[in-house]
Amino acid sequence: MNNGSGTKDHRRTYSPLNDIGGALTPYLYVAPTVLVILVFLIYPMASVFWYSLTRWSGLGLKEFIGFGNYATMLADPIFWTSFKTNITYVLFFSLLPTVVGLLLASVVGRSRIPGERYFRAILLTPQVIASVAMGVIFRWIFSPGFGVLDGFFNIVGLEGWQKPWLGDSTLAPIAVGTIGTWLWLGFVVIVFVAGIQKIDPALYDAGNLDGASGWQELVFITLPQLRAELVVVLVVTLIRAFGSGVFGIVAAVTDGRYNTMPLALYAYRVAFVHNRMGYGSAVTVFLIVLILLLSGLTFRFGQRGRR
Amino acid sequence: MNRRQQRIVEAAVALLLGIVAALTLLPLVVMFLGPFRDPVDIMNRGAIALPTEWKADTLVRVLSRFHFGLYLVNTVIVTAPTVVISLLFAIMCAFPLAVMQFPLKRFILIVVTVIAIMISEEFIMIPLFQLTKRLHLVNTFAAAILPQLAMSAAFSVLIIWSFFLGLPREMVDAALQDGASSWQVLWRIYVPISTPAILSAATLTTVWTWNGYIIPLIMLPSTRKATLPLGLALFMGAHNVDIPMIMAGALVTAAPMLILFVLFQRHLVRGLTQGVVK
Repeated sequence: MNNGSGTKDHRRTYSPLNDIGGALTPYLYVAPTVLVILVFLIYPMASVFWYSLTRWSGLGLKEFIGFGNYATMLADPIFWTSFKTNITYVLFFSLLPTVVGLLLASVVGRSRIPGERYFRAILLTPQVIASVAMGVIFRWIFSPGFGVLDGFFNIVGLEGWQKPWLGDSTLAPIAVGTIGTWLWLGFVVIVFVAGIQKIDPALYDAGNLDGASGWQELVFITLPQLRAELVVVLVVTLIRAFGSGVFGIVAAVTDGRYNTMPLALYAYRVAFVHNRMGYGSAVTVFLIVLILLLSGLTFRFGQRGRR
Repeated sequence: MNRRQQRIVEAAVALLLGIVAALTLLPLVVMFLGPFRDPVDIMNRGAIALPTEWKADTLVRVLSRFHFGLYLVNTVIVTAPTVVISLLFAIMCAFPLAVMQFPLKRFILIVVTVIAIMISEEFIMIPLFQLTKRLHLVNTFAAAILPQLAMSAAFSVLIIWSFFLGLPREMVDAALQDGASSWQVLWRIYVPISTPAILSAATLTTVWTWNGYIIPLIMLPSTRKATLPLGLALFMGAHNVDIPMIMAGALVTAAPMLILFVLFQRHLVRGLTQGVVK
């Protein structure tokens, strides 16, 4: 992020290091990393596209069926439910933390924050907790009757608010979504506060002279200056809302019941529980294309702002 | 703004952030207190109550009787080589990308960057499993280590490369004139002053590997080989009503990373917020 200019300078510099070990030296250095990436990441990534065009149980021969799996997918109600659920997760894992985090950061970011170091550490703590552990903890929090949330409502006399948070097809995806908001809000606040602290105070002084309201400051000064942070936050949270982050949480908290199954977990089920490698791969390809599309759009939106 | 107004603003800011911080810590408090509660007591007095007595029985039982001790060892067996080897590879890879000129350099950089930012276990889980089967590695720790090693290396290259780029080149030229080889320049000059970046990469990939779920789930079907997150998920499937026991399992899984976070806070925070966040 911060080394765009550094790259350019180096491209022009002549490097005497090349003369040391001959023309092969740089390739020897990069070889181990390039090799493991090729074998264990790029090759599987390419294979998943090929697999998605076949019918295959994982044993025996693959049967080429063209776009048959994709046709199955479009007619599969569980796929569409997972897709809808995943959109809910995008809302709660990505958009909600981004918006709330931006508002919070714009309120606190410009004044001195007492104990800033500690706040930063606390708000980032969820980032080091295993997704399965998070799922397990929130499963108790949302448990009916003897759960933490219902227990709280009981204590404050709001028994009527007790709900089967994880046992209801409408509530469960939202309950799982709030785990994502819990996970990402602190991260987003920290990234935005760091961004705001880098903005030239003169811009705000100029705004004050022109009589800008707090809202106008946010829209016309803070937001345009935070474009890079906004892109990073959106891309990171989007990828996680579709991917490995949500997979572990859901596996532990509901195991995909009551409309909580994200696409990644559905792909896993199809491939490894029902032994339909081809169809599972098609769902995976859909997921990959969707993430590429969304992150691509986000990056373009960030690029446009820089010009 | 006079000093009193400033104090009021600061107090309001602290209060606002304090609320967010409290909400963030709440689930962790739930986890910390859980193992010290008694299942019957939870039924009687509800979830929100302090433990009646602070006994480590549940923690001990979960570690010994329910294999969490074994899961802990397995997780270390998977994490340690992944982090060490991926760092070694990443340091080597970042070096020429930062200081040398060669054909394909830009291409390699772009590929590594895209992979590091984009790739996620679930994209590759199906072919990865088939590849592992063909290599006869299913149910070996190597199967869990290798893909994680590749992802960690790509990610660490980014962090270390961007640090290497910022280093002054004069010292390299001076060392070269003294007859040092590029390998010596890397390990004697670049690596020692790049400790912050290397620690950031090391701590982040440790957390990431330790907490990984999808790859161990697919690669290590035998319970005896399960890592902590996988073992915790299995355990919950079997004992889903014994809450203190489950919280003890969560605590055993999370505590090492929380300790790491406290010890290497500066490096982890920098890595997490630097923008190249995985």
